[in-house]
Amino acid sequence: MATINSSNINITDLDFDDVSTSLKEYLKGQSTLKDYDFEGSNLSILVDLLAYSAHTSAFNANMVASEMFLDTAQIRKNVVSRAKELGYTPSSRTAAKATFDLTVNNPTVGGQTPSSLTINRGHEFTTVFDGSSFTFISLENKTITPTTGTFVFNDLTINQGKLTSDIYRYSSQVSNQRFPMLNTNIDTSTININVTSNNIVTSWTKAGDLTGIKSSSKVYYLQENDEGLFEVYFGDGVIGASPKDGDEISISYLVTDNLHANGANVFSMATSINGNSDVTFTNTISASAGKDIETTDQIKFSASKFYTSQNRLVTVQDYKAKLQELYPGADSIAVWGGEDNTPPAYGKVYVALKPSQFSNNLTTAEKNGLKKSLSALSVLTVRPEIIDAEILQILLSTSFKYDPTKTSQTKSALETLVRASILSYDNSELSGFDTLFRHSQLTSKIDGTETSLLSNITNVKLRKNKIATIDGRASSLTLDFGNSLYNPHSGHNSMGGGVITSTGFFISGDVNNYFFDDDGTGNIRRYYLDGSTRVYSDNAAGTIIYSTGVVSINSLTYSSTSNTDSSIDFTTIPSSNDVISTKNQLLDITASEISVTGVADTVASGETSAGVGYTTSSSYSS
Amino acid sequence: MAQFNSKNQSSRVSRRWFTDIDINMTLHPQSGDLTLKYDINAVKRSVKNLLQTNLYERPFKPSLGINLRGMLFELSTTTTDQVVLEQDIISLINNYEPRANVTDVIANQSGNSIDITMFFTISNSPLPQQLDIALQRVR
Repeated sequence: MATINSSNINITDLDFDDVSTSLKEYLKGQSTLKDYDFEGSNLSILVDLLAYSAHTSAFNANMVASEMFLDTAQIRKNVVSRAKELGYTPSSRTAAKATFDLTVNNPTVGGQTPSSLTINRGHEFTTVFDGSSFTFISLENKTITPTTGTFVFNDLTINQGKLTSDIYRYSSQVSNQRFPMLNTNIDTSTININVTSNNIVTSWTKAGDLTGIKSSSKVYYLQENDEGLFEVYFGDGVIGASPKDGDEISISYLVTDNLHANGANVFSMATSINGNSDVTFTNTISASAGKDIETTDQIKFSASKFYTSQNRLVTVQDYKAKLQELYPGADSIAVWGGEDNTPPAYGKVYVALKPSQFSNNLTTAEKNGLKKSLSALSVLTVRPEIIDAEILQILLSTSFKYDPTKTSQTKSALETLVRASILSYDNSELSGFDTLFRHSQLTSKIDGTETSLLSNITNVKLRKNKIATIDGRASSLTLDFGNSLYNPHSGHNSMGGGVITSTGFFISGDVNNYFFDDDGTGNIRRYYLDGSTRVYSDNAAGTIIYSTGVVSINSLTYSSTSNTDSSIDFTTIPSSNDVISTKNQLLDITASEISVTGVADTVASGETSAGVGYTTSSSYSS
Repeated sequence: MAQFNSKNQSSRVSRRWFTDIDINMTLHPQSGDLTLKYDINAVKRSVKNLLQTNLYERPFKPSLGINLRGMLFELSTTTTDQVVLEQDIISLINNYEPRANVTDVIANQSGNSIDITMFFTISNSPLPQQLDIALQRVR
């Protein structure tokens, strides 16, 4: 027999065909068996069998290796297990929650006005949203007493779903005992665990940082098991207390629906409060934050971020990762250091969180809760501040040309379509923090609205709304547009009022209706109108920094404003048509301020020859 | 697996064009070596293997084989079907057994059995060869 050269075998080939070819190459080194290359031969069957076996083994080895690492694991239970090694627990489904003030009208208990009213955990409300009925419940027991004879449950938060509970008996004979919650739609943030031992009921809380857990700490641990169910387990008597034999473990939690009722804002009460059903809902904040269980891809992303932050808040990414954990389903999060704030506030970290597409701001209770959680993990000298989002309105004025010979649409119908395109751009591109209004993208979208549209000129203005304090005391105003303002040269448009305009306001002890403008050299001026003439009362009422877009108004005692909500609108012209949302700003194309004008193009339609009489729109805002 | 390193075996093999193992894995009564099939017998065994292999039976080679066994459970075929079957067999041999030059195939289906007679020559021998395969259902 001829010597077989084993180096002919390429052991890195793992595909069936490659392994088969390698084996045949190997067999070429001998002369006893010659039929290895004929598909019907017995030897070929053996070669195929070997190749198949090698391929299957290689595939299995590849699968096993893939499942061993967080980046490459595909099976959920393995992804969860890899994430657990990093100390990360996947978040469950999150129930949508809504907030409102609930006034109970003329309540009576036993024929008399009660001294207090109580809403218990599990109190039901209903809503109909998108044609489906949903149940919401209150998760807290809340008792109120009347304020000036009115019974109001302020900031009452309700969550979508219904309460359910699982009851277990603890046994130390069972090693590694786990207590699964037998519902896949659980919201784990609502888990309430009571352990009854010798007829004494104690409430156990979720374990947090290991450093705070003692052998007597009544805490439970949470994890997702192989079947995709969340389960709790308890300490071993060293890291957390262990229940005793025979203790009854009652796990109560919220089970939410398959569909999230995000956006629902009309509620009714399903059960009465101490027999009273006449209630009024006010200040309703739409249901939001309902989201599905974390997917494997989301777990991979979040777990690595969580591990990087080491449960400490140092960098911006640490804050963002922790906020995603503390407020799952947040629509958008912005974090910036106090040194970048206007005015600078060293030693602070500012956080703005947009809960959902239906609401821009957190409730006071949510802000307090988040601040407390963040403070516990932040660097000692750094204090987190949760602030509301500010809306930077983008005012658009569009003039487009169209070829009337290429469309059956009327001018007004085209204008409606263009307006819809602008709103579509607003909804799809400007929904969160860190977004950019790209002028050319919008104008392209407008041109693409209909085949007859030839071109458009779209001018951009910015507006911010600032609440003036009207309490008889002087106060200053500062607003930051976050974008540089149009000031091509010092003194630009000084006679015409610069680039700032404002809505009217009154100051204490003065009958004139005042406004603000600027002189193009960095000064804000206060004036009133005498007919159409501006009469300046203060040529140094404040300052404006054109390069940063920061406007500061000196102290004034406001008595009222033209706006009914005590606010003043400041409108300006940016230096760039592209607008960035900085810090806590949310960009919004104000629908009511969109101006769209269509003009039939006389060159395209053939009415104008050689461009005679053709008119164009100005590319500059006035 | 038996070793093929005896001088007799080597000299015997070196005179052969084709050598294949016996699928029954029987051992030589004297030497204890795995018995081999040579030349015409090796090719006939190969052709038989191909005809008895169903499509999709061999991993990663879905088009290798022909569904003869499945046809045992079909209704009686027409003449046209038989012609198609004969053509399929010729194609199969041409594609996967280059050593056999098929000269004719006769396929007869009666009841639940198929009789196939194939006439062919081997590429290194002018002698005509005949292979008879009878497939019959057992239940």
